[in-house]
Amino acid sequence: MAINKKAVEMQFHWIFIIVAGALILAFFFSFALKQRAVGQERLQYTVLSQVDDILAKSQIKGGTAQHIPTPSQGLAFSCTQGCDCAFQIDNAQRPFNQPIFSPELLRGQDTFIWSAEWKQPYRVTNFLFLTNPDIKYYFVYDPQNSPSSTLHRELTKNIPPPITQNKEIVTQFNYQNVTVSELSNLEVEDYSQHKFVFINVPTTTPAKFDKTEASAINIDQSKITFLSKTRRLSNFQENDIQRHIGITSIYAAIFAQDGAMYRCGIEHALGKLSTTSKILAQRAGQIQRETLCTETPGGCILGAPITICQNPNLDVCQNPIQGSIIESLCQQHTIASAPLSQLDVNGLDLLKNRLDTENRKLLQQSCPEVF
Amino acid sequence: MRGQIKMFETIAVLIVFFILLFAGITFYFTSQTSAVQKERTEAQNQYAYQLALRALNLPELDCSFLVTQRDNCVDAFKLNVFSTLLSEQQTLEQYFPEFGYSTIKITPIFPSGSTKILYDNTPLEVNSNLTNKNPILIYNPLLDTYSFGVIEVNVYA
Amino acid sequence: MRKAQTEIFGLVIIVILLALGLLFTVLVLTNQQPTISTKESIQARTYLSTLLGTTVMECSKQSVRQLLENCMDSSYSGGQYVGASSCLDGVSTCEKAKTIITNTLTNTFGSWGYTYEFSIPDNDVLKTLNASNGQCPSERERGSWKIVKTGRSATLTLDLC
Repeated sequence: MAINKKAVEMQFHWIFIIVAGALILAFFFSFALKQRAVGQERLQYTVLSQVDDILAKSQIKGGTAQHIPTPSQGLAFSCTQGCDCAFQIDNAQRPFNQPIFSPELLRGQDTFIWSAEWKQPYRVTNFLFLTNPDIKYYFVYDPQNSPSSTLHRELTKNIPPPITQNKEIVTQFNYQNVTVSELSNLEVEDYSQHKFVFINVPTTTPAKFDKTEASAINIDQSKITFLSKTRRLSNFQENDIQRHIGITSIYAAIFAQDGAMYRCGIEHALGKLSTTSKILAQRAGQIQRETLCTETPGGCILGAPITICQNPNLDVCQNPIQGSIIESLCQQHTIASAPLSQLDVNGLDLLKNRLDTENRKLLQQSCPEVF
Repeated sequence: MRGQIKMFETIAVLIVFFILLFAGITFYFTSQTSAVQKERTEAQNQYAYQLALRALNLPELDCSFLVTQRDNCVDAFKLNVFSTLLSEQQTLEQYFPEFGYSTIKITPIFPSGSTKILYDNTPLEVNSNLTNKNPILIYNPLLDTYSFGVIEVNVYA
Repeated sequence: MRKAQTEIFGLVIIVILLALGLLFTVLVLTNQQPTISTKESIQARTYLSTLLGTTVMECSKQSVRQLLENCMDSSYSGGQYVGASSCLDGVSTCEKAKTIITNTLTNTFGSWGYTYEFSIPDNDVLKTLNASNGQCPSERERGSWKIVKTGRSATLTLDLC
């Protein structure tokens, strides 16, 4: 009996040890896993903040190209039709409200960030274009067709060179020039994404790309058509049509993942143009008031109504002098307030040239420049 | 009797073990909390500096003209007009994504002058606020002179 | 008896290990040797570039940089700047620069609670324009800016702590 009791006691002793040990181990494992998850999330937010910081700094200086290491989880950008734009790393997301144009997902090699100024003719904002060498762009043009070859030349001459470090290419805007005759023989290369840019030529799917996922844009005189195809579709299908407002907006369409991102970025830029032109017009009114509404002879007539002398807070756009720089700025403010689909693109272009001329004339008259 | 002593010994070891464990966990979480707080303050500081940098490079404020271009500078006339525009609700909402919940003030130091509030958007509830101040130039286009000024950015969380 | 002794030894070892661990932690946490470390300060550098760009109306709209360049050509003796030009209010360029430096430092870093040390150590005349409101103990942030004029140079340094 005594032996039996001792044997049973030993069994329970060992069962107790196993259960207690298992509980302690389980506790520590779950704690470690939780900490790992928290650490991972913290890292994502840290990387997100760093990317946000770099994007913000890239926007400050225009005409520059730089690179950032792409997070291993990938850097994703998206914009809804309502212009809720955000970029995210895994589950960590951050909204943005600037003209940033990027493919849906950047993964693998370093990200190439190109900042280009949008001038009308003064700097309004900087457009940020993102890509990486894993994405291949094909510029399809017709060298026999003047509009096509001219636009192609214009587009390719401004593209920044690859970014190198110790004589090795770190990242670049990976594009290839393809004539319409070469298109049918184009081979499918091993890239994560393919994007075709049809420059004043009809949209054609290269024969060897019929089973390949790809996206495309077709540029003509006034509009840009956004297209895409999946592996199942042998031809490109139209997704969206938007207007373009110059060479910088065409670059925006090249880099943007879809028509929504393009439209949101361009409309943001137009909003900035509307505000900036108004500020410059009011500023010009102030300069006129300070130089003209004094007893000293001379002064600079910039186009503000004469009543500005009595009313310093006058809205100069109510009755500006015809043909003046203030009138041009006010017209620019009005045009830029319209949505992209109703934008007077030609008017904007004309005003850009007129403003440049009028601003230079001011210097000849020893008046302060408006911009 | 021996069994009882053995049991007490086991219980004592377990008690000491758990005391040490919880002491370790408390110490770890306290240090984590202070590290997170430090990181949060650093991030806020960085954000405030970024806001100032963003404001100084806006075409609505900068000193970029045909003949003269100057970094770290605001045009005095643009400042007057822009601050008036930003006092309107519509424009304030338009620039909220740019400046968030913050107050941006510009004060001339030499020659001295009155402070101009460029942007003021204070939230209903303020848990913390951090101020970042930086010297800047203020350009007068009529006199073609640059004054020494300060831009003060107050960010709210 | 032996079994009990073995158990006691085991407990003693555990206690010794714990004590060593605690001692190590306390040593690491309290080991802060004072070192003179100088970090680069964007704020200080920004102040210097802004200062140099500031225009002085009463000195024919010259910038502070131009005042300092003019001052570099003079010499300092008996409390006077010999050879330095005068501004329209009769004050020499060196004295005007000194006033502006003191004014701006007092109304910026001084009023923000910083201790600052402004110096131009590598130029004999401009050394007299040094300004400070205290002494930085050990850790400091520094900004510097070099001005060069026909063979002569001067490095403006601002330490903040």
